Formats: sequence, structure tokens, C-alpha cells
Amino acid sequence: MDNTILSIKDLTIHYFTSDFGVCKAVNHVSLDLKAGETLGIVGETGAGKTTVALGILGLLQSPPGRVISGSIEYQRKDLLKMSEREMQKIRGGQISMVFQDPMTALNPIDRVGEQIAEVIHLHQHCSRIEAIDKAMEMLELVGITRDRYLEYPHQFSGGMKQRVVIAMALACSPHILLADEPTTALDVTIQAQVLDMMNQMKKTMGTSVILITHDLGVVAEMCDKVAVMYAGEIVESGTAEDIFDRTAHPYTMGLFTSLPGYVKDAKRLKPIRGLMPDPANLPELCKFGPRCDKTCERCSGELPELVEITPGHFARCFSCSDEKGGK
Amino acid sequence: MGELISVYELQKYFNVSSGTLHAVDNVTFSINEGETLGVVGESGCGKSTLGRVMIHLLESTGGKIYYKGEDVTKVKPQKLSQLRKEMQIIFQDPFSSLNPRMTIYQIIAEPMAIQGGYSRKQIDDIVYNIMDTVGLARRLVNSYPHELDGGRRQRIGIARALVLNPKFIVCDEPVSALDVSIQAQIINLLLDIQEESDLTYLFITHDLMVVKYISNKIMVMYLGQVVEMAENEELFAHPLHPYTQSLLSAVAVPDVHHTRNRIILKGEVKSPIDLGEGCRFAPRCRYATEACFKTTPQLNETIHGHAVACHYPAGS
Amino acid sequence: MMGKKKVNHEAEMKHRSMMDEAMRRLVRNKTAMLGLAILIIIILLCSFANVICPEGYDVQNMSARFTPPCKEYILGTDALGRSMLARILYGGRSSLMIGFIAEFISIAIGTVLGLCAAFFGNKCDNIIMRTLDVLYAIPGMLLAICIGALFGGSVRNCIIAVSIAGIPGIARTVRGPALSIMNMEYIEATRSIDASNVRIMFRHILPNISSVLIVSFTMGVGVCILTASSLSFLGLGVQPPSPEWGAMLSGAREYMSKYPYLITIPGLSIATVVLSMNLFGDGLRDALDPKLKY
Repeated sequence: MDNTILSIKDLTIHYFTSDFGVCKAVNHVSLDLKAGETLGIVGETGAGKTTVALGILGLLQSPPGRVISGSIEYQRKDLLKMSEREMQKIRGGQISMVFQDPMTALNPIDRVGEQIAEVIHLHQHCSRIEAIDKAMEMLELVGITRDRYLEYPHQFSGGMKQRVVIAMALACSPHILLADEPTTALDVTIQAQVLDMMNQMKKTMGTSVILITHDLGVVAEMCDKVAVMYAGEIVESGTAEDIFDRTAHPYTMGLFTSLPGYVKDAKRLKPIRGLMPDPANLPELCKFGPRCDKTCERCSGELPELVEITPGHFARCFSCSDEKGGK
Repeated sequence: MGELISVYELQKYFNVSSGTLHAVDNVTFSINEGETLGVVGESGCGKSTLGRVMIHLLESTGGKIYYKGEDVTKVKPQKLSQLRKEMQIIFQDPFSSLNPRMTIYQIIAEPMAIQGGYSRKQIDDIVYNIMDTVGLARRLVNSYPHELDGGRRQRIGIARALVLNPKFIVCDEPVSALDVSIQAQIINLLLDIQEESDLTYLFITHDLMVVKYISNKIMVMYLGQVVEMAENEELFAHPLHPYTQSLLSAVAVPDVHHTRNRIILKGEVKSPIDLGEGCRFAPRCRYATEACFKTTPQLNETIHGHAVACHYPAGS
Repeated sequence: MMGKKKVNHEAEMKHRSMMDEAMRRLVRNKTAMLGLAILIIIILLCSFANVICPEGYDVQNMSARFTPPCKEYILGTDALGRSMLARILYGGRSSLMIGFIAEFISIAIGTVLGLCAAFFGNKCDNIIMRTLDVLYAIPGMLLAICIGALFGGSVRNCIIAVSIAGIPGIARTVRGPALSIMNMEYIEATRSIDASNVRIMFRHILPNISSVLIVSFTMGVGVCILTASSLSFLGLGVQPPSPEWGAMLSGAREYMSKYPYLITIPGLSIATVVLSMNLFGDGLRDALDPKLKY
């Protein structure tokens, strides 16, 4: 039975700027999210992950951003073809988002509880009293005492603010939660608390999550499926085990070997040389080619497509060298 | 290798509207020449303040700083200029640590311009050599910071710190704002130049994996105080302080098969204002007893080189 | 001070400072360029007043008084038969000169005060800003009038009065951005390389608030011209027979209903200069966008 809740097909988003030309931020990205699953989108700055999230929610700044092609199917409708009115009903109510910086996600002049209640009131047809009640429940669910309902954002620490933001995002029991680097700005121990809480809530509410991050540790802990993005494309995707134990793309492998402590007793780390290509000036063939140590002749003549290595595990690579990646 | 720099009961307090902020409170340690002391801790632990006080960017409120055996706690401006040549700092944010109106050449050359006594040719030579050392292409010499990415900007920051041939560098979260692959490049660079020039580092970070990779000794700070200090391997193998234990357990490990024995701390970090007696970690500690709230634990050495400030360190 | 080092090394990248990028943006702004063009034309015309009207501004021709604009006298003549065109062009020299010089002085002194207030903080900040507050509390025009009345009307006093009136505003405008720049890590970095206070203020903070200053300057010149004109209107600025637009307005008051061109021509001149400076200043501010102000 197909319980795919969100299906992105061949999504291409470009930014048309006057100063820098055309930034090809997202190119032919296809992703599927199943009900109750956590899909991690991994990549570094500029890979296009946030653009994908904004595209799903119709929050792209347009101009200069524009969806060139593709479809995002949700509940048998294409989100990209929906009007702003229709999207407003979906945002917050059925698909909600948590952004990276908790400092700027909350309105500093509104009480915290009110901000949660507002979301509930907007999307669920209930009275204000009911909305306030539900808001207090959400606060408790994320580990904040009810009596802090009337406090203002500045009275909360970073970790607490992020919890409030998560409470807001989950207040209407959305089907899908988009979390864009939700714990990057937080301290290690607070990150652990927040991730723990997110896992619990996932279990109780059955929310499907798209988790965008560059932290492979967070991915290992939270994600069932993983998609690795590079220069606007998906270069590898599969289950978390596929990615960690049977790494197939040199870029993913490079991310692992860049981690201090990954390779035991390494005198020096093995970083990926060079820089991510300028999205206004992408290489013709394999986008990772210029930085790859494992290229062969085929790489300079052909454009690699996503190839299924084992069922469910895809990689955009000709896998030139004999040994496949892996630990 | 002898001791290069050490501090004794160093204090830095700030007067804020709600009281006295104990940013750094009675910190004592020493670093040997050519070694790296890693300082870990979370927001509010005082590690950044500590680094700045050590190189006189902030004035200490109490305690002593010794450099090459000399007491340099309070120095006259002339001696300070002298010291400034030998003690430098690399900042965290590659975006705000460089003057956007200056070219790379100007940024790297400035320390020499201030010192004086360098001919134009000497300055040119040194600028190019340093650019080579930190891995910046020579053709970028007239670029402005905003034209470059975070990794390159951080290299400029490192270049600036190296110009006057320092012996001691405070690295304040130098790779935290960088992407993973760039982080690795910069970490390698820092290790390379340390080896080449026999530099001593105070490496401040919140990333335990990075600190494990780069440090000889590690110091864990909490709310302005040192709670544990040990050699690198020893700390990770046998963390004794409950805070260190939970910190280590909290790290998100990039391994799907890793079993997580998370020690989740309750509560939040207090702000270090007007803290009285008693262990500062007690409110969040699962082993805390009444005694913990009454008396401040002292930093005691258990086994050779491993010190911990706790009334009930693990194993006792 | 280190100049920009020109290097011929390998493949030289075309480097664009933020100023260069801002200038590119500015040039694309049509209204700003229009303002600039009008300004340049006016400045050129006034500079070459002696070429266009070689006879000078003081040639009286009583038989030709009150001649409205016609073929012989392009802008007509005034109550004493003097060519309006000549008086406008020569008068423009005064107005523009006073405006630019006064604003320049305001900026120079105001910037130093604002920088010192921000840099040294505490007592110094308080002393400077509170003193300037007192000055600021008096309406600029009134202040200028007081000074003019106290020391008599002359071009020099006019410039002094107008520039003093402008100083508090500039100091305040400078102090804010300077304070936020002081929080930047690169300022900390300059301390770590032992830079002197003067160096930090003028080599590091000042260049980074230059956009604020440039915009203040262009907007301020307009204000200075207006203030100077008002002073002359009241007889406290440029003295007759030297022409000055504000003075011309004043002199034409009694003939307003019969010969309106005597008022409209100098009035329009003032308005045109101020408007074009504002258009240009607006464009400058947009070009030197928050994107550039860290």
C-alpha cells in the first residue's frame, strides 16, 4: 500500500538576479515522503535545501525566485499550482515549518502563548477559549510549564524559544513538519533535549518530518531516510543505513571523512578539496566532478543520472573506482 | 617543552544592571609550548571571555596571568605592544571579523603598518608568503572580504594573526561557522602551521569532536568555572564530572548503530550573575546533595593530570 | 596609511569594492541620475556666469526696469533694471557655495564629535551629546538667525551660522552606526594588533559609515541652501548688492502681485537645486543599501 504523503517530482527552481545572473538553486529534484517517516535532506550551504523547503510551502521570494518545472503532490493536488489562498490554509495547519533561528521566528511583542493560540485559532474552527487551552497543552507537551503562557519571547532562552517554535509548528497536528536546521543554533545539551522531544512528539502525533541539516550526527539520530544534496541536485538517497554503512557517492564519503574523529587516528583530516560551484556557473557534466578524487574517463564525457544501486538506494555517480564507499 | 602561558585564579567580572556577572571565576591552568589546550563548554560558560582576558583584549578583574614566567597581569602600554606581537586571536565569525572596506592586502599588511619599520618590499614579501602559507591564491590579494566565501575569509583572519610571528594564539571557535568540508580544511591548516611554527593554541569550541581531534589537554567550563581538566584521551575515556558526562553523552554521533545513553539534563543554564556559594551545576545535577548546594567544590587532581571540581566525582 | 596595492600577478581578478557595486547600482537609477544631471547643469551655468553674462550682476538700467522675460532679457529685469539672468547665475554661486561649504563644515565637525562620543563612550559621550542636545533643541533656523543677528550679516557669518546649526544632527547620525560598528569583531581585531585609537576611529569605523555620511551630505546641502536663503531673505546673510536667491526673494516681496516673475524665478531656482539634490541623495541612499552596511 502506498502511504506516500508528499511527492516531489523533478523540481527545478532558479533565481533570476540582475547582479549575478541565473542561480540554478534546485535542479530536477525528486523526493518522496511516506507517512510517519523522517526524511533528512543533507547538504552544505548553497546546496539548495532551504530552497526546496520554501518551494514546498510556496514561500519563495518571487521575483527573483521562480519554479521552472516540476510538481509537488500532496493529497492528490499539486502544491505548486495552488493559489495563495489555498496555500494559506495548508501552511501551519497541514504542513508547517520550523526555521533555523529561533531568535527571529517569534514576534518579540506578542506573548508566547498567544502566538501559539493564533495558529490554532486560524486553522481549526474552534473558539478562542479552546485555542488557548490547546496552546497551553502544546506548551506542556514541549516541556514548558503552562504558567509561562503569558511570557514574552525575550524571557526565554534559545533552546526554550525553539521549543515554542516547535510547539507552534505542531499545534494543529500537521501531517508534515519541515524543520530547517532546527538545532544548529543551540548548545549541545539543549540540542539533545530538543531532538529527544521532537522524537517523542513524532511518535505520539505520527507527524512525517522533513529534516534539513548539515549535521550527520543529527541525521543518524533522527532520520529514517536520507537524501544528500549537492549544487541543487540529489547525489545520493536511501535509508539512513544505506547512506552511513554503504556510502556510494564520493561527496557523501567526503562529508564523512571531513569529520574529526571519523577516521581513527588520522593525523590530518581528509577534506574535500575546493569549493561548491557557483550556482550561477555550474559545471556542464557531473557537478561534483571538479572536486572528486575518484573520477575516470566516463566522468568527462557523460552526465551521471541517479542510478539504483540496491533497492531504494540511489546514487548519481558512475562509481568509477573498484571499491564502493563505505566505512 | 616548558610552560608558555599560565593563569592563576583568573577572574573577570562585569557589572550589569542586575548584579555582578561572574564571566570567569577563579580559573587556573597552564599551557606548555607547542601544545593545544581545548576549552569546551556551552553558552555562558565564559570560554570566549577567558580567551580575550588572556590576551588583554579585556582587563582582568582579579588573579594573575604569567607569560614566559613573567607576571603580565597588568602591563604598561609599551610592554603591551610587545606582548601583542606574541599573542594573537582568531575569531569565530568570518563575516564580521574582517573590515569590509579593506582589501586582503591591507588587512594582512596592517599589523606591520602599525608596528612600523618595514619597507614596502618587506611588507609585500611577507603578505605573499603568508597568503601562501594559509592557502590563499595570490591573485586574490586585491579582493574584498565580501567577494569571498566563509572558508577563504577565515584564512584571511588566520593570516592576519600570523603576520607578527606570534607564539600563542587564542582560537575562538574558528571553525564553528564553516561548512563541514571547509571546517576540515581549516583544521588541517591550523595543525600544519602549529607544527611548522611551534605555536601554542588555546582552542575554544563547543564541538566535542573537533576538540578531541585537535587538543592535547582539554578543559571543561561551566558558568565561569573549570569543572574538569585532563589529557585528551583520559577525559573522553573517563569523564568524572557529571556535566562532562552529560556533555559527552549529548553529542549526536554520526553512526546509525550507535546506542545512545543520553543523560538528559533537566533545567536550563542559569546566567552567571551573583552566584553565591555552592556548586553551580548542582541545580541540574542528578547526583546533587545538600552539601553540593552549600559548598563550592574545588578543582582537585585525582590521577596525575586529571582534575575535577565535584564533591562526588564518578567513581567515588 | 596603506594605499590600494596594485599587483600584476597571474590572472588578476576584477575586484569590486562595495563602493564600486554601489556606484553601478546608482548609475542604473534614472531619477537619481536626472537629479544629478540637473545639478551639474546648474553648477556649470553658475560657474560660467562670467562667460554667459560678462557684464556682471550689478548693471542697472533704469529704463528697462520690470521687464518680464523676453528676447532681450531671458529672465527679465528687476526693480533696478538689472538682468535677472545675471543675478540668478551669480546669485547661484553664492547659494551653492554657502550650501556646500557650510554642509562640509557641519559634516567635518559633526563626524569627529559623533565618532568620539561613540568611541570613548561614558562621560565623553554624555558631555558631547548633551551639549549638542542643547544646540539641537533650538530650531536650526532660529539658531542661525541668532548668530546672524549677533555677529552681523555677511557671507562668512552666514556660513558659520548654517554650519553650526547642522552639527548636532550629523553627530547624532554618525554616533548610531558608529556604535554598532564598534560591536563588530574586526574592531576587536584591530585592538589585538595594537592599533591606536585614532587609527581605529578614522581607518576602520569612518570608512564603514561613509554611506551614511554621503547621504547626509547630499540631503544636508539642500537644507543649508534653504537656511542660507532664509537668512539672506531676512537680511542677515549675503548683503546687497551681492545677489543671492533668498535675498532676491526678499527684495521682490513688494512687487509680488504686479510682477510675479520676480518671485517665481529665484523661488524656482532654489526649489530646483534642493529637489535635484534630494533626488540624487535618495538614489545614493538606495544604492548604498543596508546590504552594504554591516
